[in-house]
Amino acid sequence: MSAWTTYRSLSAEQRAILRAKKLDLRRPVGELLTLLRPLAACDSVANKAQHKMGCTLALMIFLTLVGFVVLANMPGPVTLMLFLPLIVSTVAMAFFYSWLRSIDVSDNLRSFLVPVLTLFREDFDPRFPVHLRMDLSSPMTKLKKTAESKPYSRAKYHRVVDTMYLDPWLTADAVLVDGTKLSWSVTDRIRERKKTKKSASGKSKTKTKYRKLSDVEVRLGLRTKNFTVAKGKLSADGKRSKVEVQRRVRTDSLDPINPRTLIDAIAGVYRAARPVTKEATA
Amino acid sequence: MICAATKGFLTIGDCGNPTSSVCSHCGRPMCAAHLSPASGFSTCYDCAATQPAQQQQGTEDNQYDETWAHGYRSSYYNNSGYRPSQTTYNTDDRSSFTDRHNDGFDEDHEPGGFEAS
Repeated sequence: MSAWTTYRSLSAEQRAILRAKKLDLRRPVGELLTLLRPLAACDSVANKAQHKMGCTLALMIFLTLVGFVVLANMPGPVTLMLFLPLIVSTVAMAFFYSWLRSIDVSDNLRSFLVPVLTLFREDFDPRFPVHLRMDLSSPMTKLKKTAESKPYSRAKYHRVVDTMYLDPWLTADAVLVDGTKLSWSVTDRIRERKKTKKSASGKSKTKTKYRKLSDVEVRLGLRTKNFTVAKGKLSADGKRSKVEVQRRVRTDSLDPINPRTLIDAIAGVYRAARPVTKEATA
Repeated sequence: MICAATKGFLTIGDCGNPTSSVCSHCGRPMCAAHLSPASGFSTCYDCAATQPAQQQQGTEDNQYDETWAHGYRSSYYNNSGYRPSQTTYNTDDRSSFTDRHNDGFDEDHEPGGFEAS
């Protein structure tokens, strides 16, 4: 299915999310998945189309420029008729490419959030909504930029500039079927390093490298009547054992973090918790 | 008959719904919610997840559906050694969450008087 067809199949609400690139929803998990799965599918199709189109568009822009040069040297209706279709299709393709970029949302939606919601679907209490706040925009926008270093030199690179970004892109709260209150958040800290060196022939070459630290914070409030948690902190009313877990993942790319990080963090708390048996409470 | 599927990832519970059919692979009685639509509701999710085509689906097509989730659950339990506890709660436990807009861990209003009973 093409990106346009997939986009057309979305509801008005789903299209509005793509445009706003923000989620703030409080709904049962089933409804969230019904809303978000088509968005994830649309993003996947749009990304594939964008990748395919990128090279073709570059080639067409080059051919169009060549066309203008030829047109300037050999003006006439025949030359114009030859190059007009090329110019029109390049402009049309540039518009479509720009539209694809405008509906592009963070890959965290389809590679992190949707898998996590699908896995925990039956763990979330269907009677209570899951509260999701997600930023679907690019992690490296001006608004998320926190610092930029002065140019400095390092080894063979005569100019290095580091730009830092802070992207708190997800927070979620939910109630699980065993009465546990779960909330988690994910914050990415990105360092973009632009390194410029001069080659032997005197040409300047710039490389861009990324490093990403993803901080996953999980808070669980397990009911003391269901679980005993050795390292848990009792809530004020004594009805819950509160546990906080943090995980940090470092990657050298901008790829979304593996949902396994969050799953391991939550499962680790459950692994350490001992279910209270009926015999023990009697 | 009662559905033989287990549900949940962090904690495991019995489905408990009335059976609508039997899985053509494992022969266990299943409710409609635990039969894979892709198989024409003839195979349970656990059996559908063991099919080679399904194992690759999640990563290749971003099709993170219920079949993928059951396959992931099974492989996660095997690889991580995580053994979820059988649920010890009952449905009354849920009635304590009446304040839907309160996400604080410290506050735990229970107007239903659950603790007192």
